[in-house]
This record gives sequence, structure tokens and C-alpha cells, in this order.
Amino acid sequence: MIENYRFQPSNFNPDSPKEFVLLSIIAQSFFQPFSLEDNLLIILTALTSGRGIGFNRAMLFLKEGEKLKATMWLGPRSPEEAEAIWTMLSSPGIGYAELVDHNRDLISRTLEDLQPKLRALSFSLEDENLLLPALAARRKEIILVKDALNEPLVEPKFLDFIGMDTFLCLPLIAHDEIMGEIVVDNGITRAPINTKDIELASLCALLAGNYIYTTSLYKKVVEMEKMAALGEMAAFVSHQLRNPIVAIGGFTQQLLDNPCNPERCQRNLNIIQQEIKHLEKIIYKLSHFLKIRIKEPTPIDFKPILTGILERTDIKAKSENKKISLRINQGSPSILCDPVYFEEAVVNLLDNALDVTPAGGRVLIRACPKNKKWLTIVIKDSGPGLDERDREKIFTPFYSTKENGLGLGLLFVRRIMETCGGKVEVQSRPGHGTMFKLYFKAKKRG
Amino acid sequence: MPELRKDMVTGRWVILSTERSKRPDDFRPPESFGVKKESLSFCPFCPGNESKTPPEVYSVRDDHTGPNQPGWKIRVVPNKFPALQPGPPSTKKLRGVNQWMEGTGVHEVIIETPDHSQEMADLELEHLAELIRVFRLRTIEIEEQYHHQYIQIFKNKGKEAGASLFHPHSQLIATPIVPKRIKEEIYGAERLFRNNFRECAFCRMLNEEMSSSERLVYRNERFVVLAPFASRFPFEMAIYPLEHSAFFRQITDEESRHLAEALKQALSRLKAQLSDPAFNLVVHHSPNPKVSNKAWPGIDSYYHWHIELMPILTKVAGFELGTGFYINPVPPELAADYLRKKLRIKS
Amino acid sequence: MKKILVVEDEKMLGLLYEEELTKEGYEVVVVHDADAAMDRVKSEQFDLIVTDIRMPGKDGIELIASIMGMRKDIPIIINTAYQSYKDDFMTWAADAYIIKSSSLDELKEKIKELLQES
Repeated sequence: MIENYRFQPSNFNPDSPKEFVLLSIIAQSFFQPFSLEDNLLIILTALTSGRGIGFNRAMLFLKEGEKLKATMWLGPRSPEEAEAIWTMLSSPGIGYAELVDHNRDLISRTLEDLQPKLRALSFSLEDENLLLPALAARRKEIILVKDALNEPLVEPKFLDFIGMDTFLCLPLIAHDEIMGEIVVDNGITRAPINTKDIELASLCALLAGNYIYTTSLYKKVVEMEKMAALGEMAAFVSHQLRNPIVAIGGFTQQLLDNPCNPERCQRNLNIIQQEIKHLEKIIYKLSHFLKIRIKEPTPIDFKPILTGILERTDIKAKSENKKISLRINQGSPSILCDPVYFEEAVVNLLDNALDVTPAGGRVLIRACPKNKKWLTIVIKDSGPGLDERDREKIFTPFYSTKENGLGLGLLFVRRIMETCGGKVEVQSRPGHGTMFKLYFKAKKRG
Repeated sequence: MPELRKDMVTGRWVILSTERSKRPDDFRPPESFGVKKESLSFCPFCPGNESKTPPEVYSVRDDHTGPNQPGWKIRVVPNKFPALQPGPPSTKKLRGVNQWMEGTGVHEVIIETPDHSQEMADLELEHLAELIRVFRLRTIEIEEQYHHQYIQIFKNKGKEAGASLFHPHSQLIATPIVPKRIKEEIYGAERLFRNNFRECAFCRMLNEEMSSSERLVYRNERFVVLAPFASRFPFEMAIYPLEHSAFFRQITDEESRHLAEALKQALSRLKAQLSDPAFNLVVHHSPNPKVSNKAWPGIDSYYHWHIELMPILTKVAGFELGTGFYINPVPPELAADYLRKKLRIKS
Repeated sequence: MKKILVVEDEKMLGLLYEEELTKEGYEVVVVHDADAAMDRVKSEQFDLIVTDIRMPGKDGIELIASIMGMRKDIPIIINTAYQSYKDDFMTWAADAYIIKSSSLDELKEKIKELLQES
């Protein structure tokens, strides 16, 4: 037997604690910095978190291409297990992060035996003979199924998995597009599903659908930001390449107009060759820059890297009549960063600092933990310092106060910091030198 | 506990996070912010520099003065360096906006006043009304002359809003496509009209807003300034004509005066209460009637033109979580209450 | 003979412009940054100025504003690799906005045009 229900916004009663908790949990998923999967699991948990709220078990389908695939199953295997979960979930002070951790455990335990069966629950939405639960998604209708054993419209594979004769299908729709579906049942308590439950569930489904949509858009936004960064790069490339190209074009044209002047010939060809070398350097630096991929940052012990940097020949040469003072605080933890990029970032800043520090001047390098989460590495020079306008500009591509500078260095540093989850700050005043602060994520020992 | 609100016309969701109770100080940006010391010694929009702009296409000026010389109160000039020069079409296949740019790119700058530092909020009412008339006249003229789909009328004030010059100015751009946001509004309004209300959704909304008045900032006989129910950004405001109209171009002289008053109120309050923030101001109105009559027949029944005013604040910022979802830390009721406070406004 | 000031931080390009514009019959002075340009403008008479925008130190837009503060009648051509500065209405202080290319024809044409007008 099939009963259809309409999506209707629940008359959210702020006095009702159940709805409060439920919606609060789901609304938080929008803020919390966990992955899509974790957050979706939270939504499922919210739907199944306790005897009082909603349902016992939930399955999540996500739309991938034309298929609706079962992605998650939150189902205690026994009343005892369910009871344990619900008790834990209603313990005071349990927060979002604890829920995420708990879920990850639960999922990893139950999933091994269930995975193959779960994976078999994949349905093509284009299928002419599509059955429930996927059919509900295609129809974009909330469907309550009772007496499923005798209902021809129910997919046998699915029935076999959940083993319940009553379940509720909640399509996840956003902007009129199918995002997925959640199916819930009361497989432990066998309690009937009433209208209030359906109302609440439909609101959750609405939010979940929009959440998935938003996340997919967010991914697009990140892509777009990358493209915008690429666009920035394109503008930068176009400028940097254009100047040598204009020179090459112009001096070549001179030769074509006037091929017979040997001195001119020699000079122009030299210039052209020089500019081509310049182009090569730009291209090399660019490709190196673009190669910074987002890798999972690993914890590193930075101390040997820092001392190693001071032994580099190029650094030693630059610091001839200047002093570099390195101090690393006791108890400095490991930091999350790729070791090669770490060295590049520090060398970049150190190089700049040495350039602006006059003879007899000093460059300070300090590493100290900021709090449990962060470690800062500070590089301070005794150069002329920057005024407000320069401070704003220094991280823009192609900004350089150096004659041969490409102006990529600081952008590079910032990119490195971004990819390892940290950041870079600058403090400077004219006449007071410049200080760069690199914030690295600290990794607890052990 | 966050509150979810949906803009019924556009379908946008806003999450109002109301955890912290806001103190007025929270809204004021730090002292140094917004104090713009202009060190530039030259402004191409100022009187005396008319030769630096392209020849004017329209101006409101003193009787005995001729075009492109001082004596003007409002001056409209085309963009001196458009992104792509109008010229003979190339052999490459161009689409959409590029095609337009290759043809007649209409982009005009409206210099609002000869006074370099006189903000729109500080303009005399009559001058502001005149400015509105200029917007209307240019809209009509360009819509008649060209077949562009849409006329974008907007104003950016402050560096953070994207304004490159301090001298008060607005812009008008004719585009071959209707901007996405406007389209969303039109579709949404049409759907509500057809399926739900059988009347203009905006009119209905205005009636409700007037009775509850908790989001009202100001009203006069013809216009109302309010903080939208599903405000996306802190202190966002909208100015609506009380009488239903889809076409900004239809505004009468008398209505222009009332709009000037409402606009002045909105801008002055923003300036006074939030320490002169940067903002974007955009007119949302129907596409070119020559075009919209075919694409959206009957649009005059369900679409309602209005002005959106979005301040750019840093201390309390909202943000966009992917298109269509926003988080706003300042509920519009609070914003309206704050902006309603009695002010002595120079008129 | 008309005198042109070229403000260009890339030395090779400066050399190229100097040679090419001299060939066109102008007296050419090349400087490499905005401060040097201001010094020259204060002490010498120029009939036209060609300037880049992106330069170390003060950029071309500030330079143009400063020059306008001194005298408004001197024709200025912005000669840059970037489109994006067109969004900055301060560029209207200049009389032309040229995107650098490997051919100097457009620049030469514009110089001729502006010098004829004045």
C-alpha cells in the first residue's frame, strides 16, 4: 500500500525541544567544517537520534549522474545497540564534533559486512520500470510505504536489505533538482510512522537537499576561485610575457626595416636573445608556482630545516656583512607543512629580508608556539619598512620593488601557507623594518 | 539558535544567526575606516575638466552655459575607455556579451554633482529628484534607440564597493542579457502571481510590511524603505514604490520627488548610523519593454520595480555559502530599529 | 620638433620606444619611474607624455594625477599591458589608452593624432 504526502513546511514550534534539537543539529551542518559525508551522516543521526525523535534507522542515497546510489546506512543491529547509541546521544554536552567522531566509528564497524549489499542498491533514474524507493525521488514525492512485502512497486533488493514492511521515502530536492533520497524506518521499535513524524522528516529532507546542493555549489565556487586565481595568473602572465614580446617584436621589426646596419644587427640580436632568456625564466618560475598542488600536509620537524637554510650557499653569500639571528622556542611542536615548500617559503622571505637589510643590519628569525593550535615563524628585517600602500600591494602578483624581481615570491609564500592550512601576515612601518609572520598548524606530539 | 528565512520571490534561503545580542558599537567600523583622505590632486569629473571626459550626451545645466563647459548640475558622459572599442566586426564568431561589445556598447557615467565631496546622501532634495529624472530619461532614450534587453542602473560608493573615483557618480549600462538576479526575481514573481496570489507578490509583501512595520525604516506617501524579511546582508535595504509598477521608466516627476526623499532618508541614515560605509545601490526594474513584452508577457502585472541598497560592512559581515544560501548575523528587524532612530537630516 | 616623455620601467622597451619615436621625428626622453618623470615635467617642456601604469614605486595613474595637478593641457597616452585599468576612471585624465603590442603602429598613430590636435 502506498500513501502520498506533500512537502509541507512544519509549523516549527520553538517550544518543542525535539524539533529544536533536530533543526539545530541540521542547521549546524551548514557551518561545521566537516566533509560532506560527515555532515550528511549528522543529518541522518538527527533523524534517528533517539526514541523520541523521529525514526530508528536511515539510509541515504545520493544522485551520481543518472543513478541513485545508496551511500550510507545508519542502522543499529539490535535493540541493545540502539539503546546504547541513543543513551550516548542524549548525554548532556554532546556536541557536533563528538557526534561526527561517534558516527565515523559506527560506520566503519557496521559497513564492512554491509558494504557489498549497500553498493548493490544502485538504481538508474532513467529506468522505465523504476521501483521504490528510487521511484519517489524521480517523482519528487514523499511516499510512505506500508505492508511493503505485498507492494509490487517496492524493489526487492531494497526490501531484502532493510527487512521492514513500513518505511518512508524522502526525496532530497533543491532548486527542483534531485539531489538524493533518504529512507527511514522504525526497524527497532516497530513504532508506527505518524503524520507529525512525516512533517518533521520532510523539513529535514528539505534542508538536507539544499545542503547537498550548496556543497556542490561550494565546490564550484572553489573551482571558480581557482579559475579566478588562474585569471589573476593569466593577467600576470600576460603582463610579464608581454614586455619581452614587445621588445622582441620591436627590435625584430627594426632589423626587417633596416637589415644592413651591422652594429644595429648585432645589438638587436643580443637584445632579442636576452629577452628570450627572460621569457624562459618566467615560464620556469610560473610552472614551478603552478605546480603547488594541494597535498595532505604532513607533520614535520622544522628545526633542522631552519638550521639547514642558514647553511645554504646563497643565503651565506647574501648575509656576508649582516647578522642572522635564529631562535627556536623550547617545546616547539611539529608543524603541518610539506618540507620542501616550507624551505621555499622561509628562503623566499629570508632572501627578501637580506636584500633590504643594510650592511651591519640584522635579520631575526623566531619560531614559537602561539597556542595549542598554532606555531608562528617570524622573519624580521631591519630595512626601511613599508608604508600602508605597499603593505597592501606586496601580495599582488607582479609587484616588486626589486629591479629584476618578478614579484612572485610573496604570492608563492601565501600560496604555500594556504595549502598547508596556515597563513602569512605582514607588519611594517616606514623606518621600522618589516616583519613577516608565518602561522603553521601545530601537530601534537605523539 | 539560527533562524531560517526564505525570500519568497527569489527562493533564496538566509540563515540569521542570532546568538550574540548586538550592541550598537558592534556596527560601527573602527575610527580610521571610511575616513578617506583624498591625496589625488586631480579629478576628471570635476568642473573645469570637462575636456577630459568624452563629450556629454546629456546634462542639467545653467541656462547660459553650453555643453562640455562648467555650469552643469548633473552631467552624463559615455565611458571614455570602454573594454572593447566599438568597431567593424571581426571574422571570429562572437557570442553574447562579446557580440554586444563589438557593436554598440552603451556605458554611461552620470556625474551626480559638480561638488567633488557632496555625497548622494547630502544632495538637495530637488537635485536628487532631478538626478532620478535623468536616470529615467536616459533609460527611455537608450531603450528606444537600441534593442538591448536590459538597462543596469547602479552606483558604487567607496573603494570596497568597487568605486575607482571619489567624486559621486552612478553608471548606466545597457546589456544584451537580463542579469541573473533580475531573471530570478521575474520568474519567482511570475510563479507566485500565477500559482498563489493572483496579485503582485511584491504588493502583497508591502501590505504585510506596512501593517507589521517591524522592518520599516521610513515611508512617505509614495515610497517605503524597509529591511527585507530575508535580508542577505547586514543592514540591507530596499526602496519600493507603494503603487504597483514594473517599469522604473514610468516614474512621474512628482513620484521622483518622493523617491528622492526616501532615497535621501535611506542614505543619510546609513551614513550617520554606520559611519559612512561603502555601498552598492542597484535599480531592479523590468527589461526593455520592446523585448520583455515577448519574453515575459504581462510582466507589468507581476513585477514591481525597486531599489536595493547594500552597505559593505566589515565588523559585522554576512557571507554567501554557495549561490542561494546566505548567512546574516544581523536580523532585519534589528537593523530597521537601529536605522529608524531619530536623526536630524539636513534637507 | 615635438618633445615626448616616455615613462617605462622596462629598460629594453624604453630603448625601443626611444629609437622608434626618434625615427618618427620627435625628440624623446625616457625615464624609468614616476618620480623621475615628475622631476622632468617640472623642469622641462614636453608636448606629449607616454606612460606605463605598472611601475615600481608610484604607478602611472598617480603620476598622471600629479601631472594634472600641475598642468592639464599636456596630452597623455597610457601605454600598458593591462585591460583592467580601464575600470579605473582616473585613467580618464589621459587622452588615450593603448594596450602594448608587438607592433608600435597604434602608438605612433595616436601620438601623431594627439600632436596634430594640440
